[in-house]
Amino acid sequence: MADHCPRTLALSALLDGQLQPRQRRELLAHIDRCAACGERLRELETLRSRFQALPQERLGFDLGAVIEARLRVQPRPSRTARRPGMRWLLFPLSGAAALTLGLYLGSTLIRSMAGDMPAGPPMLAMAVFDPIPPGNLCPVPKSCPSGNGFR
Amino acid sequence: MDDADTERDNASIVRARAGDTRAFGEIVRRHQDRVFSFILRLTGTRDEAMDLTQEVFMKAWQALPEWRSEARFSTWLLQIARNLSIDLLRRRQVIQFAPLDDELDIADTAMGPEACYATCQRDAQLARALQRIPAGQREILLLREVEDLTYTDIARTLGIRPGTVKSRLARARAALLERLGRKAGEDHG
Ligand SMILES: [Zn+2]
Repeated sequence: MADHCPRTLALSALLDGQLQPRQRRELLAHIDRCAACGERLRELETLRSRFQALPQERLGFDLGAVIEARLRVQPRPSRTARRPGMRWLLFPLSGAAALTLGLYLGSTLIRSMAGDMPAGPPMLAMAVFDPIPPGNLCPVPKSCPSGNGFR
Repeated sequence: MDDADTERDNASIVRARAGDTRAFGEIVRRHQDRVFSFILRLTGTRDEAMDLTQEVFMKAWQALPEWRSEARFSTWLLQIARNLSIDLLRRRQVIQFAPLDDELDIADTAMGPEACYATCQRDAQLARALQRIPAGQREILLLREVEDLTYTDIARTLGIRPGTVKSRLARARAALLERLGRKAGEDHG
């Protein structure tokens, strides 16, 4: 390695376009002289292209229909964040909905009944609603530690 | 997602917020594969990823009135997906005392039996290496390299400072390259 090798931190930031123009120029000049950093940058670029080439996974069924069926037996969303008490609301479903659900949910239902998945999700609910809710839910953005600078 | 998608999302959200379950169904269809894909790569197991994907949309429905248009809806969904996935990974560790390893679904079933040999092998190798680095590194790599989130959006999604994104990403990349190198029998020093 040559004089002062910036290693992965700077190279990774370079890859993401996160360096100031001057830092960028200096790093590129260094890479010109340093085979190790040049090689490292190529590895990072290759990694990126491998990620981008990954095919998107497919769920393989119409989840929209499943969710719609579940929502039909559930009240509309309200401003007060509710804690969902039941993981699966299967039984008030009627014929067509049940058919839509049947194939996929069969295995899920069996798992639920077998009890290897925790039933009610108080932990899940906590993860989403407390202390920082899923989206920009903070009533006062400035009071939110993760809310600053987000668009 | 481009601007047209975002606009379509926003229109559907307005209707869904008013209680229109069909509008919400449309939203689900538009995002289901992306959310599922993200969760599967993060958790490594197909059945659990299917369950969690449903859970994400049920949570999104409940939280819909709180969503604000400053946050891209697709990013907001990923944030919910991430929270539920990390919760699952924590429970899994408690139950199993060790991360899943060879029982991962992702590498073998992800691409389907047909087509591609070398490409699939290569993708599977990447998927396996991903499962062998810490979840905190895996999630940030997925958000950056697959979901193409900005540093600001990543910081928001993970609840960390933008400055932390830079260092965590660099560590994650180094760790993954090392894994891949080990697998290929190379030495990355
Ligand atoms: Zn160097």
